[in-house]
Amino acid sequence: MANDPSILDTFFEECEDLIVALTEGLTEMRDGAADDETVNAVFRAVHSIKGAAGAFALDELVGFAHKFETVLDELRSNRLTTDENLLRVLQRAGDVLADLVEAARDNIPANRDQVDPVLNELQAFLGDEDDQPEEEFVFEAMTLDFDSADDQSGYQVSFRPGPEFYACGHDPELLIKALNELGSATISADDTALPDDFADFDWESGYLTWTIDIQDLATDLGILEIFQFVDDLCDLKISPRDTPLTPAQPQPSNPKISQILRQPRRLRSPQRMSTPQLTRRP
Amino acid sequence: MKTRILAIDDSPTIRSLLTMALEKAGFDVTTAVDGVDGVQKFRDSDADLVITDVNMPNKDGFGVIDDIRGGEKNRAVPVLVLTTESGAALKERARAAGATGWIVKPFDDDALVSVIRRLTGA
Repeated sequence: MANDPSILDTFFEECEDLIVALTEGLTEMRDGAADDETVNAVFRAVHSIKGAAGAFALDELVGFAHKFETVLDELRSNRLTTDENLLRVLQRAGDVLADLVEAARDNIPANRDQVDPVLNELQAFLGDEDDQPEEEFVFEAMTLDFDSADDQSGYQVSFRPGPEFYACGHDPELLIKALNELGSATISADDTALPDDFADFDWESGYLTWTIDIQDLATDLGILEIFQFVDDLCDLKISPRDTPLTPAQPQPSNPKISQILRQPRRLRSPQRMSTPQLTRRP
Repeated sequence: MKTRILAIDDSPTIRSLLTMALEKAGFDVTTAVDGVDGVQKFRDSDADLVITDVNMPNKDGFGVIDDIRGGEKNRAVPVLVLTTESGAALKERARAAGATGWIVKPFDDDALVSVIRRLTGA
């Protein structure tokens, strides 16, 4: 998609506008006419170039813009103060960024003799703080033991959404549907945590604990991906099916509230999957 | 009916990339050029999911989420934050703001579509 020439043209047109905004902002800063919004606008210009350049794997441009925006972020957060030296380096950085955009557009290598000294000057404002690569937020690949995987017949997933789960726009039914697509699944809902008295019922709390038994699943990577955004928004337990979860201790429940709750419906099962059985725990 | 996506980003390049990737996947895409435009278009439309950049003029992405979560209309809509930040700090900031999830730029088209399908049931 990012190889589409029309998108690349859009990017370089956008860069022209952003370089103009950057130059104007840096000039205001040099003339002492800048306010907080000027610094924010300069930051956004560099940040936007970096963000879009990443889509086209323009690594030299991204790397320089990252260092430049980090210094600007320190400045707008008042962790750096404006002085003559800083303004001089920012001006040079603006010139280098424009040159890097031009080099990328012309598809020629950057002039490292011009880029590297300015990179070093930017780095000097950051100390060692930004000298490390950014921490990537990725899933760790697991080493699979295929001998034991032969014996693995599936996983049991149990989760009870907390209040923030709903506040952030999540829906347990969608998670259950996604789990159901990983393998033949049996789904049950434990409603024993429902309050006895209707007056105690909080509509934004999670009372149901969902347990999904998935057969024929050799690894839990798919499960972890499904819970990527909610692993700390719910009480989540994932265990191999050969070590079943301890069932929750039964508590008195009010049948009237249970009746008010929508009865979970049977999920539509993909053709290659068996139909899940929806049961309620005693 | 197609799943409706509202994509908010001040970068025309990112808006074009999002539009091409999402329309190719069969979604109905509306774009907004900054946070204020995004909130207005959210109120004027029936988006099934919102994608928002963080650093934008007029109103940033977290301000957009504040307005959506604090409003009356469709306040539980899934909102994906699109950002160049990564790491635990991003997760903390996005979560505190009420974001449903996050995608790091540059984004992979297939991964983005997969997340959207999972969050909307499309």
